[in-house]
Amino acid sequence: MLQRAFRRQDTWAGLMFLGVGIAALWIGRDYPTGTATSMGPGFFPDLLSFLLCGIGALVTLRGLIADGEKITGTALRPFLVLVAVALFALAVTSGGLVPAIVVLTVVGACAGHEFRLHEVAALTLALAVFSVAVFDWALGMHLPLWPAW
Amino acid sequence: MDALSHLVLGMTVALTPMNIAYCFVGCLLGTLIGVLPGLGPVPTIAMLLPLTFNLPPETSLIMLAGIYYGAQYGGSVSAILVNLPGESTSVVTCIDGYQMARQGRAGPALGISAIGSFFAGCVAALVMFLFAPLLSKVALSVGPTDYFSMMVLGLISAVVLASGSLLKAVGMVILGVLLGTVGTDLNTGMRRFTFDILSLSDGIDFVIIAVGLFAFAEILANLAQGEKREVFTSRLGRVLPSRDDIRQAAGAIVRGTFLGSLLGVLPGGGALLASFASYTVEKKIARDPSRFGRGAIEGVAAPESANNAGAQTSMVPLLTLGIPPNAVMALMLGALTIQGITPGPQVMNSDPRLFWGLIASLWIGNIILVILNLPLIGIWIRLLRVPYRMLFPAILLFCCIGVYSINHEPNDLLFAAVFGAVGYGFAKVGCEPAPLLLGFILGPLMEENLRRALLLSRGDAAIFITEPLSAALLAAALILLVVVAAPSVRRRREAAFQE
Repeated sequence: MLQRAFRRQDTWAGLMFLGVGIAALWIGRDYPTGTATSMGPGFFPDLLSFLLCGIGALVTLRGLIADGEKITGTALRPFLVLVAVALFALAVTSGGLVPAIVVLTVVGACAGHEFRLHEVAALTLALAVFSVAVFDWALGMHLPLWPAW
Repeated sequence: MDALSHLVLGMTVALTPMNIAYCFVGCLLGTLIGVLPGLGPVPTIAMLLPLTFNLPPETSLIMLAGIYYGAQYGGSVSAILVNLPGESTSVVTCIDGYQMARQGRAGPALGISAIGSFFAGCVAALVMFLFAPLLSKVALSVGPTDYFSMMVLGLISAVVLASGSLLKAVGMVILGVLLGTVGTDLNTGMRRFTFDILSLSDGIDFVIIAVGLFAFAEILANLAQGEKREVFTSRLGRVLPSRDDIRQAAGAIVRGTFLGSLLGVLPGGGALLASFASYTVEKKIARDPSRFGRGAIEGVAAPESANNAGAQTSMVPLLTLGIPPNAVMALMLGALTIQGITPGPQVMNSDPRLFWGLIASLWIGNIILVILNLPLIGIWIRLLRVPYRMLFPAILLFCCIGVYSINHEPNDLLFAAVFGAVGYGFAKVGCEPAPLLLGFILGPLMEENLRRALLLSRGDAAIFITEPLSAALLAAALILLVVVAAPSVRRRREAAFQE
């Protein structure tokens, strides 16, 4: 029974709302609420958190008792996309735009279903040339392109 | 005579070489992302926003608007040829458009949707030109209490129009408003939910949220799902519809335009609602409804006209009330704010160049789009054959450059990546991100107006019910909620979203 409930989308969505609502109440416990006439910084967040907890409780309840959409499993490989973004963030500050583009496209392409070396190489080159032309020359954003040394 | 001088003013703004150029860029990009499934106007506008900071406000808005209505043109291409909506607003176009393509009538289907969109676009711009000033005048007399209630109504309508669970959509709105409170409280200078992270003290930038929740999460979902796309273009046939086709579709185009212009202005409305509604209407009034789903040209003409009209008129609430009716307009509100313009009824008087220039640019944009979509249709079809594995790294890169260029802060990219993962999680548990973005953008405005309203009433919350306009708006929100939550409507709504 409970096992089945935890396969439903609603149960997790509800717990998510509930969790965020409680966390926001706890983190904001020291923010002065003030009065309705002069609202303190904690007034609006507390109001929202209570509402969110209410919604969360209802959705969780619905997940527990009513049948609904199931959660499907997920592949981990697509998450390489986010790793690629993080690596881009590191590379663009220390190495400049061009190395960052190379890292992003190569690691990003690994997240796909097929990795064809010549395609990825051509794509990387094309994107690097295009980005430098558009963002640096045409739009004048002046990001550093290469490592400082 | 007033209208004439506004028209002249608008045209002098819209017809400068720079604004024509940016209008062209916007329409081109819009068509491009419209054609490509898996990239919509929200992430595109989000990633381009940082690049518009240096443009004059009217130029920036003209380009961003071009992306939205351009996407309505482009969305029909993939709907008709691949049976995949390039845009959610073209979902219903798939039904009859793809059937027409299978019968070898892809050309006329594409032709009639471009012609219908063009007609709708021009009429909708005229409607805006005539009626937006009226709404502006009414809106000027609105106080903080009414404003707060108006935003509640806007958010509720957006929620009602989200597909899936109503309750979860309400939750997403509140979550969005709560995210909007992150940062320094304007009144007291107190830092809220910043975790002592310096870059959070100004709040989370909405570009980060939009790119994360819409672009990154979308790429994740697409990759996890795998790719299946089949282009159906052995023969395109003549692109120009025959005289019979036009005669058959003319009524549908006019009705779609009318319905689209009307539904675009409603809070929560826009292109999506317009296309669904007009398809339903056509099917209802048709002499032989069984033709629908088997390649009826009205089933292509009506929604494609309606979505373009709706996309354009949904700018009216933003420009006259300062309230964005959908996620795209929420981003446009952000774009205006960055330029130091507070959207609202005063814009028409304080920035007439922006107001009239933007409306006038719609005519220019629609002319550009019809050229892009009729004679140059072959280019877009070739583009459809580019596999996703070549596209997503490019989308990823432009998003990264866009986010990084906000303040050259690598942390912003990490935040966006986190929001990407969160957005994927939202999709997994069946929560839509659009209401969250809307709530996030309206949140600070709501807090400010709530504070003012309660200050005026000396802390008496009853003021929201005793002020007549506010009471009417809240009642409308309540009625909307109750009606949609009622079992019979709920079943029909679910059926409509499944179609």
